[in-house]
Amino acid sequence: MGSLSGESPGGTAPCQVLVVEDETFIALELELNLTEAGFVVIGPAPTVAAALALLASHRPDVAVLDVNLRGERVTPVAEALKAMGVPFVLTSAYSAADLASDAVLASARNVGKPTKRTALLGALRDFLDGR
Amino acid sequence: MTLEDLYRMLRSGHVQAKGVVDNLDLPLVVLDQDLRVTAANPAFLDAFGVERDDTIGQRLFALGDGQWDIPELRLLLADVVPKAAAVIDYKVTHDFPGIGRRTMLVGARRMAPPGGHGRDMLVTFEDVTERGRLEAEKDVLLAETHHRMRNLLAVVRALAVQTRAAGRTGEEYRDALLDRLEALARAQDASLAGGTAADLADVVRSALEPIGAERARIEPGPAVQLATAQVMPLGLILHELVTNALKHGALSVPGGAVRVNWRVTLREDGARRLLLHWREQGGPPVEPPAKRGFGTRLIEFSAGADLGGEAKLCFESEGLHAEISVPLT
Repeated sequence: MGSLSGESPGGTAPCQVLVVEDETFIALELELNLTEAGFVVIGPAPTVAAALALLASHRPDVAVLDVNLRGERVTPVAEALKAMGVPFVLTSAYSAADLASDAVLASARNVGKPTKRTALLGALRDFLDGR
Repeated sequence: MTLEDLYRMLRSGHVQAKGVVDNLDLPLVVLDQDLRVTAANPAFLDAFGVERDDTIGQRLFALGDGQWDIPELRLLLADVVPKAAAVIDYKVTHDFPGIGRRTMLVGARRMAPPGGHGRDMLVTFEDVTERGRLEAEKDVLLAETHHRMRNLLAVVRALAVQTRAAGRTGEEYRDALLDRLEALARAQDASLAGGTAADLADVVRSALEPIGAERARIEPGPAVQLATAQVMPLGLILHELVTNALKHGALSVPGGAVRVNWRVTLREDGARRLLLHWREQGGPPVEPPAKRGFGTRLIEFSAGADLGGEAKLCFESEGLHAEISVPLT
């Protein structure tokens, strides 16, 4: 999963996290929580198109994705991240059954919505420790 | 059916039974052992748009150019019923000529007159096409409602987290939070009241109401219809501007005021854009904030994410100048 670069939460370069979320208040809360935890936030991107545009010029270490973006599923972003080898967590109120039809989403970890700060940071830390 | 059977039925209230069957809403036929229709109630004739004379005496599978010749039904009547005595609510989905694709619950029951070895069958058809569709719609609606509820709770949570608590008393924090919830509710009302669209002037007036007309100078502008989805974000952006002006900006001192005006620009390709200006005057000396606060982030993000436009905040010497640019449909 990704290259074993020198970037790490405790290393010199801060970790970059892509945030994809369309609900303003939730996006801003994610941004606040992640910034406070020492991450550099890319985005938040409110749409699939905006997220893909950011991915064209950034390579995040990890990503946090909402599933439903104005009625559009985040699937293309998840697939792009998978192709780049960037791990991601979902923050969605959808149940596992709702996501089952989408392979790339069904296999991802969902920390739920409303999202607990500790659950989100824990999930991100697991990814970053595991790479 | 033998004469003796008929005699028994007549004696045991056949006429009454016929009256009941004729008045049943449920389409129903009686078939003999060759699966010929010996009786059909009006509900059946109605539901499938057939005439009594074309129906009675015909084999069920030959009825209406063979529209009932459905393999599933054939198997059910020829094979299952004789063995099982009764079949209840067997689901058959089929394209019927004239009435289209329908889903039927078919019930079949052997009629065994007392003492007889009756091979007659009572077959009922319940059209559940509409019910299935309604149930599917209800499921979608429930899932969507659930999803929106969760989202709304998350929004309230986010508001609580992002309302500054440091250096405030509990009461001050509560009032600030309730203020934002109130603005959210007001913006939601405004977006629902308009149905499909709302007038920009109304949204601006409603958001600036707490300031009073004396200090909120709303200049007349062109009529602009906002899409429903644009109303709430714009209302919240204006609320944040008002809150900020009251706390730190021009409205924090007597004599300070805010001027709001707007115009619509037309690009060569026909795209229309709303340009709304918020200018504060007569306030304390202006300094750009050292750290971007929640209000600033909200205005910037929401203008992009919710309105598809952008917001520029310029801390000019005279006062804050915000320019909000929104594409119109």
